Amino acid sequence: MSTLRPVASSVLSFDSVTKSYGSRNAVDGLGFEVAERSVTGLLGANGAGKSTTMKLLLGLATPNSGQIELFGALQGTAAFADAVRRTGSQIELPALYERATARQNIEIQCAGFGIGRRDPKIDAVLETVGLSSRSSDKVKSFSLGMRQRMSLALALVHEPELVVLDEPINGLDPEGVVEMRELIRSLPARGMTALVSSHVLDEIERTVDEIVIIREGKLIAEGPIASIITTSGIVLRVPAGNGDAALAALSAAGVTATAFENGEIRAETGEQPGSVIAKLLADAGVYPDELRPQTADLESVFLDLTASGEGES
Amino acid sequence: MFAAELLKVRSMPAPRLTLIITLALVVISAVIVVVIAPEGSASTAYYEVPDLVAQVIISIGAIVLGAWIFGLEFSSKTLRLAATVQPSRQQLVLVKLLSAVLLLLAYVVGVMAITLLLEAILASVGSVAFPFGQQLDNALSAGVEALLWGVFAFGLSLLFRSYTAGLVAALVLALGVDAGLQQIPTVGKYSLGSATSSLGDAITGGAATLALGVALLAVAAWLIVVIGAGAARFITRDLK
Repeated sequence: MSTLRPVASSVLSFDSVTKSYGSRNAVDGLGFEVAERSVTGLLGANGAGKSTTMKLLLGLATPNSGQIELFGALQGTAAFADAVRRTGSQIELPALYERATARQNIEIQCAGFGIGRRDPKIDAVLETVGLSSRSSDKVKSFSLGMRQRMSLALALVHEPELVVLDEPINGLDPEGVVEMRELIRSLPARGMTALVSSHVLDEIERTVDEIVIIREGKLIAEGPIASIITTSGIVLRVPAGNGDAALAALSAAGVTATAFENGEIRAETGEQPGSVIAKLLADAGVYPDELRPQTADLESVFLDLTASGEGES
Repeated sequence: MFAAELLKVRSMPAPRLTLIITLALVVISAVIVVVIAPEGSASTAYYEVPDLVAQVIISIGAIVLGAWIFGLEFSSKTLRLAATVQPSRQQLVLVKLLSAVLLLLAYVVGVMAITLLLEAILASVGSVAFPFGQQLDNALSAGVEALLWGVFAFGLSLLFRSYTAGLVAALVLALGVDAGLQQIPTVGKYSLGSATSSLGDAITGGAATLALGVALLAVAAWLIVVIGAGAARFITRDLK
């Protein structure tokens, strides 16, 4: 899963990128691609190199080696600066002009992109992030959640093609988390691509199409979320008293199975479809009440992947 | 990008407050002079006192504004934002420098024009002749010196990547250290303060320490070294 996977049309690619701070490699030979109009999650533990990766792609930091290509422009070329202007970003904590109002902050951002102060995009983005009623308030009075919303507004107002969001749900209340998720999910339909990092794996699982997992600056896994959270077996429930018979039938067929106190039996079926297991049990006179694929959640996959290399040199 | 800088000047309180405090101090000095009502040979104080106050305060105000243009981004940590809107660091420095010069020009011209008008009114109140040409030269001289110190403060805040550090360093140099530097034999006369004073003297016709050409070169050297070093650091280093 750690090899570079060809993507039909990518807006961003990292190829063997390394970024060092002193003797420490914050990003170490990293390679991945972000497909156009996808929502890609960048996952990693604290210090894994997520923020550095985002800074590199935005030209805020320069790699020691490797190649970064953004909208076809290579990092280090004049065209890369133009490519960065096609992005909208929020890196680490929201950075805002504290003594200016919410609207003034957005007007300043818009002016940098040639968008006028009376452009309807300003009101629209304030509405989108739910800050219309606070547009005349100074940002210094805002809570962390409101700052996150402001930061998102700044990232979106010029309608960028790539939106880069670092921990966008930090400080949001549950309602805000749902709104943020829906907003990020809606970006591809608006012609945008999103790269999102978060520690909240459950939220990432609900939000993204693709994931890139990094550990100590290195790529651990990359691909569609459905292929990374693979089906690893089958969970079945049989009528009371049939548990032993079911286990015996499965064992006789070479399938490892475990019975649990809640009545579930988990069978490691490998590539075998559920229908084969159902027939196997039926042949033994056991008719399951329930039979479903056993899927791992992102959290367990993430923990497995990021822990598996610990201790390696 | 330049429009964004103008909006920052309009939206943030620092430029407004600097202008208001500067004018308030000049007006207070004018009120004090009117209350004291100097007579005889001291009656020139009607216009000389506000002029002196304006000359001192305008340099401090220019340093505050010069350091603020880049310092704002460092203190509010918005440089990442500015650098993604204008990803060319060279262009970002140029836009900021141009914004600083224009802001300083507007501040200096505005304050000195109002001060001149106030001086003329005060001279009328005190029934004393107002030497407009001489006071205009004084205003131009003070304005040029203030503008140059403001640009120098811009360079220091860029070099130190900090509003506070740039502001404090420029104020300490302008209000204290530079006078010490001027005492160093042979090279002391090329200090920034000495060179800007010489430019001011060239405008007013006073006795200058340095010839006009040498003063221009000395000022250019100071600004190029500080702004150049700050720009080189800003362009080549990663942004936090």
